[in-house]
Amino acid sequence: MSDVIDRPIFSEGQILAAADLQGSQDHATDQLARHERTLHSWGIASGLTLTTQHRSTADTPPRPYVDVTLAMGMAVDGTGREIVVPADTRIAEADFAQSNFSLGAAISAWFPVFLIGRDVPATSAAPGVFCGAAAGSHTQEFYDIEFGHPGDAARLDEQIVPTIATGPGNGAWRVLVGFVQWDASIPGGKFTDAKAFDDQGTTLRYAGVRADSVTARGSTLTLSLPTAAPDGKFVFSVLGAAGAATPVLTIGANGDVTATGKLQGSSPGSLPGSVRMQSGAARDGIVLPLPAGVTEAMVAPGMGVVHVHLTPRIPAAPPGAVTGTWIGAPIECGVDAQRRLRCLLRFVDVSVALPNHQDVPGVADYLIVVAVTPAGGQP
Amino acid sequence: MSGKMLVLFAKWTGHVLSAATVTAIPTTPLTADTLAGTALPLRKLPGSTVAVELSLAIPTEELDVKLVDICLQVLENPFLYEIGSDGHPMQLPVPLPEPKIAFVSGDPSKLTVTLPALPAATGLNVLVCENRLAPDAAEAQRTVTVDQSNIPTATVTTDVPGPRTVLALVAGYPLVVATV
Repeated sequence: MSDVIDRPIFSEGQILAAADLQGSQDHATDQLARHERTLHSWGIASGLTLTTQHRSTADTPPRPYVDVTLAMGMAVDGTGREIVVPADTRIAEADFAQSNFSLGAAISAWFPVFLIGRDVPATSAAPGVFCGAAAGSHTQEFYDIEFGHPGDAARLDEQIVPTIATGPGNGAWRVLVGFVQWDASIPGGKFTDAKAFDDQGTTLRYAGVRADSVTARGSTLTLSLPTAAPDGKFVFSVLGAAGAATPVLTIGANGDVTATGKLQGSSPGSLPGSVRMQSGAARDGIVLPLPAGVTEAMVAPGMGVVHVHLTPRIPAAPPGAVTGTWIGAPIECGVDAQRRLRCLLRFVDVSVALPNHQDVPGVADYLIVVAVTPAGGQP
Repeated sequence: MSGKMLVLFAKWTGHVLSAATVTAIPTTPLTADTLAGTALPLRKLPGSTVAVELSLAIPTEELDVKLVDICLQVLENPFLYEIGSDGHPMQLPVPLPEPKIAFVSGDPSKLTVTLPALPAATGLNVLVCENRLAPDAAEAQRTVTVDQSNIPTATVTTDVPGPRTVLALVAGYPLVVATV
């Protein structure tokens, strides 16, 4: 079982070999990587933005270009490796020119800029050790800045995730930090712009949390957007089999809510600000039914507003009439404060010399519209 | 028309008294007061044996409600129907001799409802309502007795003695509006 996690232990008087110390260090590093890989999603944790400084060539007329700088910061890649850029770092044009990614590409193309963590062996004299004595060794947790073809950033999810017991990767995972445009017609080649997203909608990925439960210790659980992102949004998604996220609920920074499903309160129809309807036909004396999910409390005075539309049904003759020619008309059709239907029809028999009439309770078609009161507001 | 129909009926006798159709089935539990409030008003009930019209209100505690498939005949002429043993409206058998209502001899505070035949089952229910003296007043007697002449009767004691117009509901028989 080669994948079993091995942790060195030490005993009094033990002669420590380098492998013992290294094993202890590797265990902590691997453990941290497993934590980062399984309990967090990879991406930028802090900083690592591309900024531009506008320049122009000495040509006549001068040609504009930009210097691009990667701000210091940290990312966690998909292997659980921390990638630290300790200081602002200028993106070298020479590195891009050598990549040849711009060959055949349009001047408007956006080339992705990737950050890759890599261990770089380094040696130095151990403090207090004379020349010629044994030298200590160490590893620099370095980083590379690489470029890609337009469109490469959309395929970052295709990178291979290490097996569960594995420690952090080394030079094997790309983290997107932005995009640059390149003008090869300027002598030596120059960047002309940089930004965080390309024209295909691919943008930076920030580190996240994998959790099935998030619990506030106080009375408030707060999710926040940065003020610098006025067009930001909260997105609730469902992951597909291929790992692609399908948004089902989005709340914009301005409070707009977009849902692919239905919005409903604790009971259907109770959503404040919603409009619910009921319709049908009812007899005189009936209290007209409320729409599904709307309770009497929700239409109490000062709460929801009820709109009622009635149309009396007038049959050809009153109930039980077997002879005569009848003309019917409503003499009462309305509802009282309880929504109780009052529908009375008058029928006149015009087939006789002295017309008589009958007043009978009737049936009316009804339409009820209830505007549910928003919390603390008017319907 | 899609949807269902809510039928209000006398709880003890099964007589359908009113109805309403709904396109959206209510999600809250159905109770009689949902459709009747504290009482169901019935206006201008035609007298069955005398030229009289009766308007009264039947208290909600005497009512129940069922959700059934829409039947427009029930909506238009509810008094011709009762709730059958399967829980759906069924037409009352017609013609059928109506029960007779009269004061108990020598006692103007007691009404008897005399059935034309022995009830088919024990526990036959009778509901007598009137509002001559007080709106929404109701009396109910739910046990039928058989007198020495083998005539089944139900006796109702009124609050105030005297002539009145009443609605009598006897399970299995058409409703009766009579002046006594």
